[in-house]
Amino acid sequence: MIVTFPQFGPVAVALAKFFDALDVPYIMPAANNSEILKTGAEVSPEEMCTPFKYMVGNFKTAYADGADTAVMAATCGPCRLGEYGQLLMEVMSVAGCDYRWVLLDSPAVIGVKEFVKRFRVLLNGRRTGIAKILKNVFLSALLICKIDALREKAESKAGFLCEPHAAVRILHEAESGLKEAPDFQSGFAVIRKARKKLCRLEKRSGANPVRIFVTGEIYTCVEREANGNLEEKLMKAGCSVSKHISVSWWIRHALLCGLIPDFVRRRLDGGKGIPCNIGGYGRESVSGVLRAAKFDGIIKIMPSGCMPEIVAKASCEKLQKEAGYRILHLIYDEMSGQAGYDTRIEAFVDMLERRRDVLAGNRHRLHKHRFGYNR
Amino acid sequence: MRLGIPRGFFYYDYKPFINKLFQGTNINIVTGDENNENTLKLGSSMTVDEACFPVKLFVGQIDSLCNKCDKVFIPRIMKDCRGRWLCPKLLGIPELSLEAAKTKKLLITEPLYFDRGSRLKKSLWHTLKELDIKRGRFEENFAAAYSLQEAISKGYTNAHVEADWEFVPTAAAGEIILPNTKKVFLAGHCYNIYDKYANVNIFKKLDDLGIEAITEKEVTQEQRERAVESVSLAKEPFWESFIRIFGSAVHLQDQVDGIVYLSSFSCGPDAFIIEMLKSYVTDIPIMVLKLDEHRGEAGLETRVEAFADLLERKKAS
Repeated sequence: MIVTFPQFGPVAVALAKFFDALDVPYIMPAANNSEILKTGAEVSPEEMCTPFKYMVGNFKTAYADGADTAVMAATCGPCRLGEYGQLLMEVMSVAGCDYRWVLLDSPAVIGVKEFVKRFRVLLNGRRTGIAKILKNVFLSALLICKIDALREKAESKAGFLCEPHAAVRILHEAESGLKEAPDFQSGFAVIRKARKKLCRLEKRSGANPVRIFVTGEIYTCVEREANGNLEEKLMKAGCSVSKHISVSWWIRHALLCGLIPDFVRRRLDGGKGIPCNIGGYGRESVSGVLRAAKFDGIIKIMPSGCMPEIVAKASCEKLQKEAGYRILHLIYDEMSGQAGYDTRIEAFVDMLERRRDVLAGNRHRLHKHRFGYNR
Repeated sequence: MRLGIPRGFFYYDYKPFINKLFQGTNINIVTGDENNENTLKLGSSMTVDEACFPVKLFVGQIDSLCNKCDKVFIPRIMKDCRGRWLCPKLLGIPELSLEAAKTKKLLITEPLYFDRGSRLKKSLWHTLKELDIKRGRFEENFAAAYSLQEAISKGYTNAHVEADWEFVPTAAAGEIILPNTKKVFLAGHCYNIYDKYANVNIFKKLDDLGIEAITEKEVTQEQRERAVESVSLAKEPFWESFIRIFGSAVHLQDQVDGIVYLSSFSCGPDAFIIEMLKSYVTDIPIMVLKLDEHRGEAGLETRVEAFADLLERKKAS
C-alpha cells in the first residue's frame, strides 16, 4: 500500500513528515504546475472549480508513479468541496486509476469512531500507539504553523527591505530545505535558520511600502501555483503583504470558531458582513476585508466558479462602492494568462501608491517600482 | 401593505408556505411578473458578473418589484425540511441582490433552517414582527404553513399548483392533439424547469415533438431517498437539489425513454450532479441543455429535435 494526497501548500510537506514518522509508505505528489492542471482538466468535468482539477492532476500523476491509496479530507458543508471525494472517485475510475479511497470527513459529522476506522486503513494493520499518532499530528500542525509564520514574516517585511528579492530567495531556500529534511526536528531547524537569515536582511531607511491585504478562497490562497505566485510578485514589487487565509489560519479557525457564538461574530462584523455560513470561507473572507480598512489595498482571489466567493464578491463590491475600500478581484482559471494578471496587479499597486501620495499632497510623485528589476 | 415575492428560486417551492404565513393579515402578496427581456437586463446590470443566470433573473425581479411594492420579501433559506443544504449562491442571495437593495425595501429574513421548526419560527418572527402582524395570528399561520411545507418537501403535495406553471397542451384552430409517443424526465432545478422564459418554453417544444415531459414532482421524497441509497454512494449527499434531481432520475430511469437536463450556465451543483448522473444512469440517453443569457433558441431547438430523433430511432431498433 502506497499512500498519496493532494498538494495543499505546507500541508503536503507536513503530511510527508507525518507519514515518515508513522512508517507509512507514501508518494509525495508532484508540485503543482500548468502541466498538472492540464492533466487534471482533461478528465474532470468542465464546470468544476479549479482546485478540483489540480487535485485530479495530482492523483493522476501519483497513480502513474505507483500510489494506490488516496487520502482526501473534506467537509460536509454546502460548498462543492464536500462532494470532491465522491466526484474524485468517479473521475479517477473513469480515468483508469484504481485507487483505494480514504475520505477523512470532519469527525463532527461522521463520528469519531468512523473517523478512526477510516484512518486505520492507512496504518495497514500495523499497531501504532495513539500517543504516537497524536504527537505526530501535533508536530505536523506545529510545522504548518511555523512555515506559515515564516512566510507571513517574510511577506510583511519584504516592503521594508533594501532588496525584497532576497526575502523571496530565503523562502525558496527554506522550501527546498524542508522537502529534504528527514523529520520534524530538522524541519524546524530549517525554519529557524531561515528566520535568522530573514532578520539579518538590511532594511531600507524611511521605507513606507504599500500595504496590501490578500484574502479569498482557501485553496487559491494556499497553493502558490493556483494564484500565479501572487504574493511573491507583490513582494518583489516592494509591497508589504499580509495574507488572511492560510492553513494555520484554518487550524485556528477550526479550533476556535465553535467557541464564538454566531451573534458575536455578526456583531464583530458590524452587521456589514455575511450573517451566516455560506460554505467555503466566503463569510470569513468578507469579515477579513471589513477588518482590513487600515491597509492601502485589498486583493481578493478566487478560482473561477467558486460559489461562496461569488457571494463574497457581491458583498465586497458593495463595500467598495459605499465604504471606499480599494479591492482588486482576481479570478484564476485554467487559462493561465499570467501577463494579464501581472498588468492588473502592477496597475493596482501603482494606483495605491499614487493615491497615497496624492492624499499626502505630492500630486505627481510616482515611485518607480521594482517591477522588472530582476536579479 | 403590499409585499412583493420575486418569481424565482424559492418561489417555486415555498410559495404556498408564504401564502399561508400571511393569510388573514393585512398584507397583500404581490407576485413578480413572468421573467422577460427587461428582467434579465436589469438583473445582469445589478449583480456580479460571475453570478449564474437564475440569480440575474431573480435580481431583476426584485428590482421591478421594488417599484410596485412597499417591501420585497427575501427569505434566506439555508436548509430544507429534511436538513439538507441549499446551493451556496442561494444562501447568499440577499448579498447577491444588494445592488437592488438601494431602495431599502428588501425584507431579508434571518437564516431559516426548515429542519428545526422552533428555531425557524423564532427567526421568522424576528423579521416579521416589524410588519405589524399579531403574535397569535402568526403562531396560527406558522403551524399551518409549516406542516404544509413538510408535506411539500416530502413530495406528497405539489407546491407548483399555487405557483402556477402547469403546462397544458393546447391546440390552435384546426389542429388536433395527438397522444405523445415518448416520455422523458425533465431534470434540473425547479427554477429552470418552471420558468418559461429561462428555458425558452421547453415543455411546449417537447410536446410539439410528441414527447411528454415529466418532472421530479412525480416522485415522492421517500422514493428519491431510497433511489439514492440504492446506488450506495461513498459519501452522504448534503444538497437538497442532488437528492431531488439525482434521486428522481435514478427512480424514473426504467419508466422514461430519456433524460433532458436543464442546467444554467456555471451552476455549481449541476457540475457535480450531471457527472454523477452520467456514471449511474447509463441505460438511457441523457441530454444536457445549458441555459444562459444569450438564450439561443434556435440552437436549443435543433438539439431537442435531434434528441427526439434519437429517441425515435432507439425505440424502433
